[in-house]
Amino acid sequence: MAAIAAARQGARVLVVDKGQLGKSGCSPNAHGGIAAWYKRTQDSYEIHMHDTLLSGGFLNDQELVRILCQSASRLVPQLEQFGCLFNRDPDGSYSVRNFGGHQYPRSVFCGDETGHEMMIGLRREILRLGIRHLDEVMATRLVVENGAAAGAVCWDVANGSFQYVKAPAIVLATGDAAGIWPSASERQRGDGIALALEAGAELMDMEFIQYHPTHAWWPFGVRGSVSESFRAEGGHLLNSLGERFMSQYDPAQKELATRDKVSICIYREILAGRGAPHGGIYASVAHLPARLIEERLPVILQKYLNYGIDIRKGPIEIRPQPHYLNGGIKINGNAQTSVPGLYAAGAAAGGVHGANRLGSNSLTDILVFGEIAGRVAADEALRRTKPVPEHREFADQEQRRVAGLMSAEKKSAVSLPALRRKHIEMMDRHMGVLRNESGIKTMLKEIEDTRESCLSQIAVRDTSTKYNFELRDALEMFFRLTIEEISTRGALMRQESRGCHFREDFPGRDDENWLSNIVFYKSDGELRHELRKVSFPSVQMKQFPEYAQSNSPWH
Amino acid sequence: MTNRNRNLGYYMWLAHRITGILLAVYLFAHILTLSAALRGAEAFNQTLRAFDNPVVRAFELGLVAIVVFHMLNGLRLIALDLFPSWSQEYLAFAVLLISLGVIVISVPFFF
Amino acid sequence: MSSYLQPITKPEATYTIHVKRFNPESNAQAHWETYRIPFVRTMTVIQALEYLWDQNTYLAFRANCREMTCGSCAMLINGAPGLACMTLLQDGSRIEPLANYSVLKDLIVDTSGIERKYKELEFWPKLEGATKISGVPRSVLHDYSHIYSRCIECYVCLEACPQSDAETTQFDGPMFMLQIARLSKHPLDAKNRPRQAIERGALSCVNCYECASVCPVGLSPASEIGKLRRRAFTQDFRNFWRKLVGKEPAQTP
Repeated sequence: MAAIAAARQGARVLVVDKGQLGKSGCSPNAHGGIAAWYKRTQDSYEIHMHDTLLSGGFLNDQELVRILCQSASRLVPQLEQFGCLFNRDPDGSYSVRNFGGHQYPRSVFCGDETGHEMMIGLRREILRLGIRHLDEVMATRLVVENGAAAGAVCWDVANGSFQYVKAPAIVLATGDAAGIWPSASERQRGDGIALALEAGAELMDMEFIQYHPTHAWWPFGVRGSVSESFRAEGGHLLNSLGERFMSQYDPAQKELATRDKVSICIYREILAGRGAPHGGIYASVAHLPARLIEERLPVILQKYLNYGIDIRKGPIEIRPQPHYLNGGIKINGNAQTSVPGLYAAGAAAGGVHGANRLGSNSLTDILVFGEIAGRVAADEALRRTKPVPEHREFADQEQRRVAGLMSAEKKSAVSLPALRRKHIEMMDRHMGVLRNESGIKTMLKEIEDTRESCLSQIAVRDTSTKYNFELRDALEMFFRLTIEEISTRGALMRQESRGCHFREDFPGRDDENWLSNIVFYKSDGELRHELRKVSFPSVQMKQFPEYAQSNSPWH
Repeated sequence: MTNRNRNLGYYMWLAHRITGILLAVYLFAHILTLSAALRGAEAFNQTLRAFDNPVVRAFELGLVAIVVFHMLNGLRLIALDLFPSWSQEYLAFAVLLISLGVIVISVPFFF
Repeated sequence: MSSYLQPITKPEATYTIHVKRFNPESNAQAHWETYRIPFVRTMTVIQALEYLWDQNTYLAFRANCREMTCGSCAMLINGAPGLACMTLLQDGSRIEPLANYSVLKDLIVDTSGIERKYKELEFWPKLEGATKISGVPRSVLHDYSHIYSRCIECYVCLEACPQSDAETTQFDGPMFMLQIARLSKHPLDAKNRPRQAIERGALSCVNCYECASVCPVGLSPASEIGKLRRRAFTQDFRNFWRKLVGKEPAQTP
């Protein structure tokens, strides 16, 4: 989206993609919908704002939320001009679907693969505008000169070369860092977020990793999240006794409570011994008419049929899994980071979703802020009068650094896959749904140990230049440690429970001390942090007395 | 072309190609045979008598099979073009079944 | 395996798989290698490949979503094209890269030719003034959410089609025809798509339906080609009739 907006302004745009254009990252997997259409007469962007803030525990940046909700609607027809087509009601207006935490249904969708449909449109538009794109190229370092973004060093995975790309304006739309945890979004390794930190930008809310309540868990071969539309269309969550346990935890919203709450409730059921045989919990749409399932959930139906399970007839076994990192690079209303010339949008940026994201708000986020980032970045780049210098020496530097990692002879003391595996399991155990001080400290110690001992022992034995995935894993390991450290430190500091961050030792919400964002940044190579109180320019917490007076972590 | 399981429609296409070529060859042979008529009635009758033996009859039965298959599959392809929502597999089964029926019925006519 | 948390299960058996490997920098030729994989029921090919990565055998393959949405992991499994993320692993599976395209490394093939075709075919709606959609027939909406949006552009049908390969210029292939069909139904598109389909070789389709039988998401590109052809014939016939009776030929399909 950013590329399209920038190209429209007349700037020369280069899209650098770690995978293949339109097929990489997690946007193609997004199933549910785009929260953008206020169909009911009682609905409006203000109510959307309220829902988003309540879900986010009021840690959201209200300015960003306002922009999100106000700009969302006009982007939907634009997508259709790119070639998408969304479901419609008989009267010709967009069909809208409900999602957890939204007061009114407002999510536009296409079957149950809205994200994929959106990517088709965006990809076509990029081709139509003739925007240059480099596929399977990974940025390994951002270069900042005189305090402003100047370019990036990119590693071509396909042929192994290092190039320096000079750019006065850089937009990081690289997705979040859910892959630091064991997630279906495993390709999201947080590259952009780590790169931004090294470049001097600020990160915020990094401790809030959202666990999506329904991820495919059993049979063994099934992967991926089971869309929230499974519940939105009327699916039930059942424990081993066949009870709809969510009616006890949240009689009003039941399965459509916000994701943070549902995930914890599921965990509680599993820990109480009422889970399904393989460690998950049951989810079922079998009580719904078969035709509705075929109409609204065709992808999930087909996926499970491949493994011999018919969701029209029986339940599936699911389990909450890490899904989305709410935090990210701190941006202002113009998608600008604290580094001039560096922009961030979408899942890579933080502040829009606060402590917990609403379902279908992410697609809205990437469209709205993608467009803003592209537009403003292009403006800035076009207004520039001085030519951007070429800095090939940075590319050479990176090449040397990488060459230092490669060694066919050195007996590697640490196996990359084993290290990665250990870390993701530990992140799930200590920095997952239920956290406590000793667990978090254990994780922090592991990170520090790895930094001190293992990093220097990493040796990439595969010396090929083309498609060296072992090298890619090694480079990602550095980003991984950065994100892990910041996330863990943030979780340790925040002594309360809010949204996706639940501390067993501090199970209540503490509005007095913790209505602040934890912001991390690097100064003189040192990691520093700051607590910044959230400001309330438009919506006040006391407008929601029920929420304000309780100390429940969730809405 | 790797060795793997392919759907029935693929083999129908293959058979259609092959029967088509065989029919072209047959047509040529048939014209050649009938050209005996240009040499007079006796030459023509002689040619036809030469073909009145069990081996040729077996070939002629084979010809029936080839013609009926090619014709019915041709109709099937036209149907698929005009009504693309029809199941190509069901039509393929129908073609094979009817072809078999016609071949079986024709046997007494040749033997 | 890999970066995904999975239930802890004991492997039920050990399966053997054969992978065709090729490193342009060291081997002169592609060669088969055999690996042993601990097997759990419903395990997929991609999980086997990920297991190898976990064992420090970094064979090269493309994969992203692992859930049949991105279309990156197309390869030949036991000779038949399919998605690695959805094909169940069998004992003795033979895994090799797609045959229609040149191999870059191990299981990665060069698909740049396909990407170039996207631009040639102008795969975006040709907006002629119309920018808002007023009404959409129910059948079109149903087709979109069940057919046209389902196509994940995985190239499996292109591999299976006997009438198209990487070099053929006559017929682009089933996937492209399906995308043309998609645009032909889009309310904002004003280009004559059935005609474009014929120009790009829709008449070369022999109705063998191999594309339909290998499509991982259950689509039938051959049916879409049939529909486009029928619409093209109807157009031609109508124009012929109009010319005959002295009227102007219709512009829009």
